[in-house]
Amino acid sequence: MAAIRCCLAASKLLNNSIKSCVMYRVTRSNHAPPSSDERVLMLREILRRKKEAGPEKKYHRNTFLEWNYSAELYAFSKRIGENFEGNFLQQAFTQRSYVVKQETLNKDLGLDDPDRFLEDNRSLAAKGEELSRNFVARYLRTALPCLPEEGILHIRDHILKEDNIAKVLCSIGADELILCTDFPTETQTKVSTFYALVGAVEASSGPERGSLFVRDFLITSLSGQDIHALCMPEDKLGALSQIFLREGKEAPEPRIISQVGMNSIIPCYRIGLYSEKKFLGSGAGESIQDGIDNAALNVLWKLWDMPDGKLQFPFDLDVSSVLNNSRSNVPEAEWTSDKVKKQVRPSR
Amino acid sequence: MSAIRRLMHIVNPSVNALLRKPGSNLLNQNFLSNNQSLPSLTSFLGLKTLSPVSRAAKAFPKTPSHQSTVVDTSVDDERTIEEVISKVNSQIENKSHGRLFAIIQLANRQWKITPEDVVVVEGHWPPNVGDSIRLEKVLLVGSSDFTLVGMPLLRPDLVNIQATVVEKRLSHTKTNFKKKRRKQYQRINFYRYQHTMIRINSITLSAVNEKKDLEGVDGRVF
Amino acid sequence: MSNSHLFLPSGFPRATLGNGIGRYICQLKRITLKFCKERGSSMGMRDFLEHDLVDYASKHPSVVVYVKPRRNRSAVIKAEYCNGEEFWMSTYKMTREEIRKWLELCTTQNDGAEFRFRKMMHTDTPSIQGPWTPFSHRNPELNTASFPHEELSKPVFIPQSATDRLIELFKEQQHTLKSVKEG
Repeated sequence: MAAIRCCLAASKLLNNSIKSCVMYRVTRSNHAPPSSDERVLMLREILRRKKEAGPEKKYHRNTFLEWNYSAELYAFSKRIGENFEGNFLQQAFTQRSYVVKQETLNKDLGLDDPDRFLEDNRSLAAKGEELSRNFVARYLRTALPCLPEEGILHIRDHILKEDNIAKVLCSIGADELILCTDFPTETQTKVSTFYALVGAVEASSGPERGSLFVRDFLITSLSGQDIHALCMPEDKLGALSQIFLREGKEAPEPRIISQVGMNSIIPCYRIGLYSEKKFLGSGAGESIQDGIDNAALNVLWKLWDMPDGKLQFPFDLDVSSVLNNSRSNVPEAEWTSDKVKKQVRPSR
Repeated sequence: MSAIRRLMHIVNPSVNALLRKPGSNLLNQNFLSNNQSLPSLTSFLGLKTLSPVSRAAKAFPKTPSHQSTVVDTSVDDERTIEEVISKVNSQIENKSHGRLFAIIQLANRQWKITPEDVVVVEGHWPPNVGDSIRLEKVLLVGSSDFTLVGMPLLRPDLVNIQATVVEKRLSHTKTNFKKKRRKQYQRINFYRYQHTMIRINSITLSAVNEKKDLEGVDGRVF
Repeated sequence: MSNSHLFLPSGFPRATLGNGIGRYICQLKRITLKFCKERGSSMGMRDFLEHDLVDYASKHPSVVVYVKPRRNRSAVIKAEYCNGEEFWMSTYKMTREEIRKWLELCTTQNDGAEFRFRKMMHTDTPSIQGPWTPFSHRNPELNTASFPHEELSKPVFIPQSATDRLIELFKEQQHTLKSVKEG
């Protein structure tokens, strides 16, 4: 009996459900272990009760006995390799909601000590967001000097998406350190905490160190992702034709190079694009329109100096040279190869 | 022979296409019997290199039994070699070669790597987590337009491959089971290998220079 | 060699979110060492805590070390990683040296997952010169050719026929006669 009760206690169901085990034989000695049949029945019963009770309630890591917040903060700063001055790190993790909650608690308890006032991370988050947006855009412009400005901004928006930033924050182990009232932590909270961290690094060690932080965490989140998927204009052949017309050349014409399996489920059309009878590039697709689109994309990417498969996005550019790069890329509506010829390739 | 020894081997088919005469099918060619139909590819590469063309020629040999005029192409060869090397060098200087791949020898295995790859080295390997490592045994480096083949290794001043050790863990439990049937003998041995994960950071090239006639060990440890 | 007999998940090597591309981040967040103050099975753990714990903690400042004495429980290491995964290991009757080694493993691991690697490598760009397609080395003549085509429909390799050999022998003979005449 004791053994069976122990097992049920271990499954944490003893707290919620009935305390007496009605299903099992009562007349047993206290020290005999349950037989295998009894164990099977018992396990089945436990599973049924577990499913009935619903999913287990999740608790924050700080509810555990083994939790030392100041030690965690120190370890975090060592993990990311940054030295924070003063109270910046603590401030970066403190959300406004938490500060409000603490203030109301203090008021209720009658503690109105002005020295014990917690700063929230709104100002740091604002500074960090500004630095991140600026730096990411400049970095992309340095890494992809021939890409039109719209492409740069599109990639930047992709990097600065909320889900992406939240994922980065969790991967550096910072989400448990956030002081906030919502649990599980919302994406918006994580985003503001990340920006506040950037702001804290900048405040402690300067804008270059802050930019290095952004480079090593935000920009590297691009690795493994398809950058070319972010640089696809909607009307591919149209975009390419406009570039050629602006340069005073004939608009590219598509021609079928070869076609295979036209009557089958997966035909393959290889389309080549030619301007003034000169070969520009080719692409393949399951339909002629797909082939034309792919060919146009391949030519566009070649013009923008990021050919498919050949592009190596640099993740280790020098931060100070990136910060000094204040020019913006040529917009799509004005893009020609001449304007882009003078661009300097990024130095590693 | 010096021209051939200085040669950096070109394997890419697009370059081959440039040098090949239009409409020629490599395997149908009679390479050595009729000089007028010699494709410029063989004249460029020379007869004794390991190009796909001469490999085919070796497979289907047709040594002429009668006398034939041999065209001396050494001047043309030298010029073409210089052109190709300067093109490769200009790409390296401008860093316009794009993504590079390399074949390296690491822990008695060979890998084809490119930056941002993760490689798992199995077995005891000293480098610790967080260390930055230079991979020196490079057999081949290639880009989309050219390939540099080492004989057998490339010089360390030519190519630099940097990597970081990211993780050191143990493999899943592997078993070694022995049994001799009807002899009441069976043994099971459980073991786990050390796995080291390294992340390839960068592959950088410096300009291709004159190959030295005499090359030493260059301070390498093999 | 099949692995179907293993009740073990399999996967490809992965490194959390570009670890190593930017800066290297130690993936271990915190480690909890649970032990009993009296029982013999925790003796190794107690020895470790007495002699090696401070060295370990100072060598790995990015790891928070918690020490939790619990009555009548055996010694245990619990490691928590940045990707949320946990690694739990019993150190029942282990010696101080063993515990030190296992702790070092916990620190250098990226997570506590045990699975079989399908490939010993991971790459996002497997092909730089372009993967082979059936169109890669096609003869351009085939584009405008109409079949049956005399030249392209010939076999790739025709061994020398008897007639060809005779012609060769004839040429050789002519050459020998010519050279005899001249010199």
